[in-house]
Amino acid sequence: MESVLESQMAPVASIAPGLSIFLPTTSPLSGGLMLRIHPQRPAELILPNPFGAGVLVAPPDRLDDFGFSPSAFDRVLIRRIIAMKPVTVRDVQDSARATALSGFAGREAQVLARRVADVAGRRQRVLRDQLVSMFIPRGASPDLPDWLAGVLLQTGIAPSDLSSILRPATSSRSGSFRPTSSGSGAPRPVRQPFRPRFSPQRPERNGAPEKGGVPEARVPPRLALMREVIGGLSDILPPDYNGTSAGRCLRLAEDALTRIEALYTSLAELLVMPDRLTALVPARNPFAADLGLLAGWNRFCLMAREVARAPCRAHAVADIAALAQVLGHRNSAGTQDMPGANTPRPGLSGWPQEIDYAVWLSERNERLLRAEIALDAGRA
Amino acid sequence: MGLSATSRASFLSRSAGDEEAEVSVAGPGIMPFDLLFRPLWPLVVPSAQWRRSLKESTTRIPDTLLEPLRIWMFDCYPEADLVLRLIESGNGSRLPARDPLEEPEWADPVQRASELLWARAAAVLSRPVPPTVLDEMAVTAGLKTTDITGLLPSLAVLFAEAPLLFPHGSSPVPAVADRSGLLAALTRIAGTGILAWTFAMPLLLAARNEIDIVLPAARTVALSFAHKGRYVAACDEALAEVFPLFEARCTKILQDLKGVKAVAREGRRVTLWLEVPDLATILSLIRFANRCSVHVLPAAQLRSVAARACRLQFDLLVAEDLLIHWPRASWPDSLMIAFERGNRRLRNLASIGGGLSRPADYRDSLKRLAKRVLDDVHLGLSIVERMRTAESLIDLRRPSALLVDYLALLPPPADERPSVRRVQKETVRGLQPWNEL
Repeated sequence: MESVLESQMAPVASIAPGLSIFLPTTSPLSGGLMLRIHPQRPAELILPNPFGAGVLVAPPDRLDDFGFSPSAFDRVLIRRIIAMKPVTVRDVQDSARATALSGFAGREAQVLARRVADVAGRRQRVLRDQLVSMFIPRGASPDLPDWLAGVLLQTGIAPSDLSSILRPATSSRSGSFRPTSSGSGAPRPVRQPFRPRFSPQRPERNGAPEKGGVPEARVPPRLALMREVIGGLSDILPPDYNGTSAGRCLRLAEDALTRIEALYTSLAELLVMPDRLTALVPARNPFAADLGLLAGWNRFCLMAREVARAPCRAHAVADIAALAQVLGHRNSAGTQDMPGANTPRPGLSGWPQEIDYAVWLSERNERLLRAEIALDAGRA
Repeated sequence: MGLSATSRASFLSRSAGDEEAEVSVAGPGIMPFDLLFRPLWPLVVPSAQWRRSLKESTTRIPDTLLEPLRIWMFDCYPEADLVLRLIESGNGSRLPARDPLEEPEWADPVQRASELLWARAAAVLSRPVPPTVLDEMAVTAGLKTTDITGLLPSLAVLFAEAPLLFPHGSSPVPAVADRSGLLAALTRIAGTGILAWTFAMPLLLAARNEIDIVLPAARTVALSFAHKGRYVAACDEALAEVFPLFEARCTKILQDLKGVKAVAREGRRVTLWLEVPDLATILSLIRFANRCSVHVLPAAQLRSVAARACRLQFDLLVAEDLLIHWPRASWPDSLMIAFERGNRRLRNLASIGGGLSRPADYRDSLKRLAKRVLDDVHLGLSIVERMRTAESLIDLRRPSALLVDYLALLPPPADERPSVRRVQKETVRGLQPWNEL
C-alpha cells in the first residue's frame, strides 16, 4: 500500500509501471483478464497463457489468436475501455456494469445490473451530500466529493460504519502500512477523532476507533468476503498440494489482503480525520493501484470458495493460481514477485470428459460476474 | 402443457400426457407423480415380474405400490399449490415476476418442486402408516401387507437421503459431498438394513455422483458391518447391473423415439428422456469401466446404444426447436432465463453426445439453431441477445457479423485515433495547391 503522497507523485521513469485494472471477464478463460494502462503507450491486456505456463501480454483489440474465444461481453467491454484515453478505475467499473446492463452477460445479470445501477445512483447522491455537509474541508479540490463518493461506493464503506474497518487494523496486521504523517520516532499524537455534527441513522455510533468495535457494525461486503476466504485459504489450499504453487498462491493472497486492509484503513482514516482530505487530488488517481485490483481479488475469493465443489481439483487450484499470478503481475518482476511463473497448468486429459470445459468455464465466469454485481448491491 | 386449467384435478391423477399424444410425442411427464418417483427408475419393476422371481422381490420395488403411496403422501399436502405453480412455470412461460436476488430457488422451478416432493415423501414415510391405510394399500397394489411393511422403511431412507441418491439440477458437474458427510449418510442407509442398502447402491451409481469417490466410500462402509459379505456383494452387484440398466433404459427410449416426427410445440420440453446428468453419468461410468478394466463389454454395448439414443433425442429436440413459434415482442425475464438455460442444456447434450460418438454429429444442428437465431428478424430478441445466444450455442472463433457491426458503432480505440495536431497537419497539407499534382 503506497501512501497518499507517494501515489500522487507523477511518474518520472520512462518505463512507468502503468495502472493495472482487473476486467470481469465472461470468456471461457481460466484465471482472469487484467488491463494495464499506460499514460503514453497503448494499453496492454494481461491473461494467463492458455497454452501452458506464464502470462501473455496481448494487444487489447486483437484477441483472436490467443488460444481462447473471447465472449462478446469481453470484446465490447475492452473496446469501450480502450476508447477512453485517461481511464480510471471508476470508468472500468462503470463500463462493465453498462455492458452487463445492455445484456451481454445474460438476462439475469442484466436485471441485477439494472437494480444495482438504480441503487448506486441514489446512494452516490446521498453519499455526496453527506460528504459535502460533514466531511469535506474548506480548500479541498472541487472534484473531491464526487471522487470520494465514487470510491466509497466502490469499496462499500459507509461513513457511519467505520469502526468495523478500523478495529482489526489497530491490532496487528497492517499497522506498518499506515501512512505516517507524524514524525517517525515520536509516538503518534492522540487526536480526537472527527465527530460529525449529526449522524442521521445511528447517533450512538460515531466512528470512534478507540472505543473498540461495535459488534453489530457492518463490514463492507467486499472486505468481509476477503477476510473470510483468505483467512481460511490454508484449509482450502493445503500448501503442499500441487507442488508449491498453492503455497505461493497463498502468500500472494495474504499480501493482497494486507494491502486491501490497508486501503480500507486509509480511506476510513481519511473520513475520521477529514483535514487530510485537502492533500488529496483526485486527478492524480490516489489509491488507484489497489482499487484496480480489488474486484480481481474479490473474484479470487469467489473462485476459492468453489474449489471444493469444482469438477476437478487440480484444475480449480491451477485456475485460482493463474488468477493470482495475473493479479500479481508486474513489468519488473523478479522471481520472488511472480511465484509460479513457470508452473505448467494441468492439461485437459485430467479434466472429466463429460463436462464441456469451455461451457463450464463461461458459465462459471458469468455466475461470478453476477456475484460481483450483487456485491455492489451490498450482499456478501 | 395444458396444466393450468386442470391443475388441481390433475394433481390427483397420474399423468397429463395422454391428451397431448396426437399433437406431439409426449416426453417424460412432469406431474408431481412423475417428479416424485422418477429417480427410483433403476428399482421399479412390473408387479408380476416382482412376484415371480425371488431375486427381484428382494432387490426391486413393484410398480403397483407407487400409486397408493402417492395417494397417501399427497393426502392433505399443504404445499401442493406451490408445487403446482413451480411445475407450471417450468418452461419459463408462466413464471411470476421474480426477484433473482431474493429467491434463487425460482431459477430452476422443476428441480425445486422435486426437492419439495422428496422432502414431503421423507416426512410422510418417517411416521408409521396406520393399519387401515396399509390394508387399503395392499388391496390397491395387489400385494401382501407384510410385503409393504417390509419395503416402507427402506423407501423412507431413500427419500431421506435424496441429496445423495437422487440426481440434482441440470448441470453435468458431479455432486461432490465431503467425505465425512458421505460416510455418515452411507452409514445411516446401511444401518437401516440390507434391503435399504441394496436399494441405495444402484441409485448411488445412477445419480450424478463421482464414482471414484462414492464407490470406495460405499465399500468402506460395507466392510464395517457384521454381514459385510452381503453388503459388499450388493455394491459389486450394483456396479455390474448399472450398465444393463442404463442400456435397457436407452433401448426403450430408442423404441419410443423411432420414427417420431417433430411437430410445432408451444415451448421447449421441460424434462427430457435422457437429461444432461443422466448422460454425464453414462459417459463417466463407461470411462470408469475402461480405465479400471471392469465390465468392459457391457460398457461398450451401453456406449453404442446410448450414443444412438442421445443422437435421436438431440435431433428431435433441435427439429422441435426450429418449429417453435417464439414470441415476436420482447421476451419477459422468466422466458429469457429459461431460454438461456435451455441453450446451455443443448450445448451440454451435444458435448456429451460428441463424447459418446463423434462431435461432428452434433455440430451442424447447433449451427443451424444459431443461424436461425441470428437470421430470423421476427424473433423478439434484441441484437445483443441474438449475439449472445449464438455465442452460447456454438464456439465462435471469430466475432459474428452482428458483433462486428456492433463494434464498428462504438468509438474507435483512443490509441489509433490520430491526434489533433496530426489531423490539422494533414488537412493543411491537403489544401496546398501542389498536392493536386
